[in-house]
Amino acid sequence: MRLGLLAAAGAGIWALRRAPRDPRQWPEAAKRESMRLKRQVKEAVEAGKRAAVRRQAEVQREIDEAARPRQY
Amino acid sequence: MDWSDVLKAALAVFLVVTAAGLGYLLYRMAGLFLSLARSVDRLTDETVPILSRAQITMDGVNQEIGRVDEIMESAVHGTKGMEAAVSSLARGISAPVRWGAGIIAGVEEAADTFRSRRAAERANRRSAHSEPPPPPPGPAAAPSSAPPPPSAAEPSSGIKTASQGAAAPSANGWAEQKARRAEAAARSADAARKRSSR
Repeated sequence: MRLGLLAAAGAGIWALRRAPRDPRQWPEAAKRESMRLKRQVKEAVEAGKRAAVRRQAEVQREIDEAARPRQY
Repeated sequence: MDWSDVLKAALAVFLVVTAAGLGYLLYRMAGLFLSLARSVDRLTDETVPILSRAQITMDGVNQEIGRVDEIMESAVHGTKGMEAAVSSLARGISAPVRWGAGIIAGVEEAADTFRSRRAAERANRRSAHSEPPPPPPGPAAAPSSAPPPPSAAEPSSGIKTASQGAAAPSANGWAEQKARRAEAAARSADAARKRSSR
């Protein structure tokens, strides 16, 4: 409970620091921040997907390399 | 008694002696052939059991060779089965391992990208809000060939910064230009990473 209150207070302080001084600009600022956050999350997800595909290909290549019969 | 009689008598004696010699020779040869026949019989009697035993031994050796062949065949089958089991096991294990490695790498890369984007935008915002540095000392009249400072209203490139979306003051042109350069550098680094990943 106390931890939740502390987290909520911290989030409020952070939002007040980031928000413009004029309360009339808050909706626009919130919209802008949410759009920016969405864009950043989308870019991060795309980069994560690319990295996952690349890593899977690397692992598959390593497994194929290990399973290939050797000529003695 | 003339010389012809003498010759006939000598011939008769010669023939008798020759007949006696031949008889003796034939007698000795008969004994020799008899002993030879006995030796051959004894040799045959001694060799036939040895040959039969050798035949039995060879049959046993062939049987053992057949067993070794069966053992080798079963070993080859076992090796093939083992290989198939190992390959199926590797196939069964490799899928989750690949999936887990991909998930971990993706989450790590996404977190890094998100953090770097946030840091870049924070740096842009800081540089946009900071005061512009004093102009470098030089002649009062600026050269006409210098490019005009970019304004917030018209973006010079297709890159849209966060400070452009906000109502940035026009006095911070230098800071905006710096922020735009930083974002363009970040985007070019991202594009280079994409190309290297392909």
